Amino acid sequence: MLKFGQRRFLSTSRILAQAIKHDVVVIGGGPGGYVAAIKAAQLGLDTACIEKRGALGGTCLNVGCIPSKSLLNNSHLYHTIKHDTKERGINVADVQIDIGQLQNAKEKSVKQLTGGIELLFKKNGVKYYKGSGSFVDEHTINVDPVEGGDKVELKADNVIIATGSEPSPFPGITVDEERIVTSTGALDLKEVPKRMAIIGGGIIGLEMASVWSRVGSEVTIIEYRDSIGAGMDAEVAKGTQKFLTKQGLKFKCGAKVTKGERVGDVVNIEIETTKDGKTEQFEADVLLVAVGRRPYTEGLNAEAIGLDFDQRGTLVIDSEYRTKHPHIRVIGDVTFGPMLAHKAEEEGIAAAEYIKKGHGHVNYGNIPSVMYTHPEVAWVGQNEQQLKEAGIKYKVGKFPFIANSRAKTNLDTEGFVKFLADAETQRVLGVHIIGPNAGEMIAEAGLALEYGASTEDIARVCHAHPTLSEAFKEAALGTFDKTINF
Amino acid sequence: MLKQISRQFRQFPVSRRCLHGSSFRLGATVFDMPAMSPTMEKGGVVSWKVEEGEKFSGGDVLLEVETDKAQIEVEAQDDGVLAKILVPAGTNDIPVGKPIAFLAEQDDDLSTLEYPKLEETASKKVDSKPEKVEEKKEPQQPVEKKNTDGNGSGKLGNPQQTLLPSVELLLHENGLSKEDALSKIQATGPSGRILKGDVLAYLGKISPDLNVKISEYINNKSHLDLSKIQIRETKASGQSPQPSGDKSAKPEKPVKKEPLKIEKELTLAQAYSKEAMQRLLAIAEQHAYSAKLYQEDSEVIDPLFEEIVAPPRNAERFKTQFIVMPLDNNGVSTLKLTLLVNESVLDAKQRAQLFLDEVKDQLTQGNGGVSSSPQLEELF
Repeated sequence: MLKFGQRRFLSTSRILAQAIKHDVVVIGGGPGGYVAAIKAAQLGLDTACIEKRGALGGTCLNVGCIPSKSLLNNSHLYHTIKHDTKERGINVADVQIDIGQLQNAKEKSVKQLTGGIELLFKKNGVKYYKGSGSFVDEHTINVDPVEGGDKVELKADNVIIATGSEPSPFPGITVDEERIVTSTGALDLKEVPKRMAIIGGGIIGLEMASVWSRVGSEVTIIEYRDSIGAGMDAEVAKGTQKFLTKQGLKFKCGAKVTKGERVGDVVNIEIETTKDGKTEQFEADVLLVAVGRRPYTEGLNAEAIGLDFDQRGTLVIDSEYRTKHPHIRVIGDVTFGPMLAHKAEEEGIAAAEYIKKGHGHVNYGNIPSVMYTHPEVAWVGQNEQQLKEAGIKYKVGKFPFIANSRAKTNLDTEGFVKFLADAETQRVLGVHIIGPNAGEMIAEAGLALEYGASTEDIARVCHAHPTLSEAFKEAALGTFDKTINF
Repeated sequence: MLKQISRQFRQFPVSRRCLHGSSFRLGATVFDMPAMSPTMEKGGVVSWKVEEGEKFSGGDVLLEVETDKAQIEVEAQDDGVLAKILVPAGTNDIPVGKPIAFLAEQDDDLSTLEYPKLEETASKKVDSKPEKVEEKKEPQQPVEKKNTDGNGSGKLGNPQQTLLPSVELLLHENGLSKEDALSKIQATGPSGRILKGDVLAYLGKISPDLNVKISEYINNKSHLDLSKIQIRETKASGQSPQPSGDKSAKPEKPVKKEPLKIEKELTLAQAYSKEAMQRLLAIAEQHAYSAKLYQEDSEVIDPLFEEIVAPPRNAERFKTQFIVMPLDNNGVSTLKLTLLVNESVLDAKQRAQLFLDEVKDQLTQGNGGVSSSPQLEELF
């Protein structure tokens, strides 16, 4: 015991005496930051990572992708057992949802995964500072600890900023994370709201809508534009709205929210149609504000060292993620590009490689998007609107899951695979899928895009029978030839 | 808590391949001191449960490790042989990741087994694959380099490539060999790959321009578009910002704009002296500054985190000015309240709203205040 105490004392006094030097300091331990840190360490650089949340994994693991997938999967199971067993020959007597346990299961997955990253840090020799990092000058970062401990000053040859994003506020609506919530609060509701209203028909809004409507909420989605599904191919967006409507979600598109105010346990909402300015009032028990996310740089003191921001608060970079100070790089949500965990991860790897080897690679034309509703919606590459705008002649190949044998036996036939290919060369330009496990299927499209494949190349690859992936193959075939099974 | 942790990690399976995942290895594998918990930095070997040269199967306990929290049994995940023990039982303070033994496959001959050099494995664990595996890769590398730059148009194909099925078929149909293709056809695909379009263009079945156009289009999409960035102006706009060194050039606060001005008229049912009103406003201000803006009893929101994210406590969120009008004929007076909200502080608006709510509350409680003018109910 005495020995332990002494050792600790010695190390503390050393910390106080001098700044600690690292080759690379990563600010932010989300999917971008932690991946960058591990990669840098694997490349032989002395690497540290600063995270102030108290747990690694960032928004994605703690209050984003991961917890939402737990809720989505389990609520889907519940919904299936409750409504979709009889015709399959399974009689279920009484099905109950236990929201407390649903949330526990979610928390457990999150805890295990965030703890896992700490182990990965240990394994790869990444030094982890629990605290908030702020620039003192362009080579010095002050770490203000979150769990006791001492203040530390770090000296860094290279810095990677990966501070991520936060939910955008909606002007005029005050979030209390209880009745008026962001995605963070919507993941943590303690009971099923009878009526839920959601501002924003993007991926976050629609996933949360699915979760709570499956367990009994009456959900209304308010979207400012005329169609939902930000960034989706127009046909896919329309199909998505159709199947979600079938599942009981209500949509108010082309509507502007003019008021959202909590009164007691009820939220009063007023909307105004963008076309004719008609107003409508209604009530909800929970209002989710899901109008997107904005870069997060609070407390980083980036202005102090002269880093540039654009007008939306995004940190400005060049094509190698460098800021005005070439040794400071920025990756992930806090800089340009789609705000997706996997995009941040790719950039994390590339940034580490730029530091060590002078080159890295991210193909921004090949970053998939997935919405984990049921059926899932996934896409990669260009959509029809973009191709029309660019004046590219393209061909469409489409195959519905209702004609796919596996989907048929699963009694799960909603959706289709849609290929967009260059009219002359059949080079794959984009793939858009609504369907069971679309998020897994889109990986094959990514591979095709990366290798510059034509749809014929996909159609000539043997796909196992009976699988959903046959629909993928057939849709590819549809761009230059006749489909076999439809 | 301690007990819980130790229970959680008691049975900790360790795969001899867990660090590497996939590669087939010819020599012995290094078995490192495992991390039994995220906080563990070093530990001791209490005892080896398997002797040198002894076979074990997945699930068998290999050794017992001691941390500052508990003694934990380490299980093998795969079958194997304990080829050599490097750290004898009873050794303490072994850092996590330090090699403690060599493991081998069950059918490996221990007498001829190759042992990896230790310094090398300690520093480059991931790269320590046997050379044989490396060799296969080598010929590809120089070629890849040559072709990765630019969009690849106007170049011959990468000779190392496996032809795409569409390309192979098209060549065959037109009596061309792979050698013909590699020496004659311009490749536009990534890393010098010959695409279907390239062959079609070569055969004259489509216009070569079209083929180049589509590959240029795709190449353009593969980069972030950084051409339309609008830099946020700082106070010192015009003069070029001098980022480095100069300590006196304290960071300009982004965008110096007019503070948000809120004017509010509240009807008072009784007279207030200036001092009384000042006192009331001071209480409300204190309330507004000290209120927590997050939900405390949430599993997701960590108060500690929120406190750190929040702007400093003492940063000025708003300035207040007020005039109390004298009682009019109806015995009613008016409070004219002006707030100048400093929007550069993140939560200024929220706190200003809290302040106004509290003023209203105070006035109602003190039985003095009546409602405010209705159009000002909703401020933000």
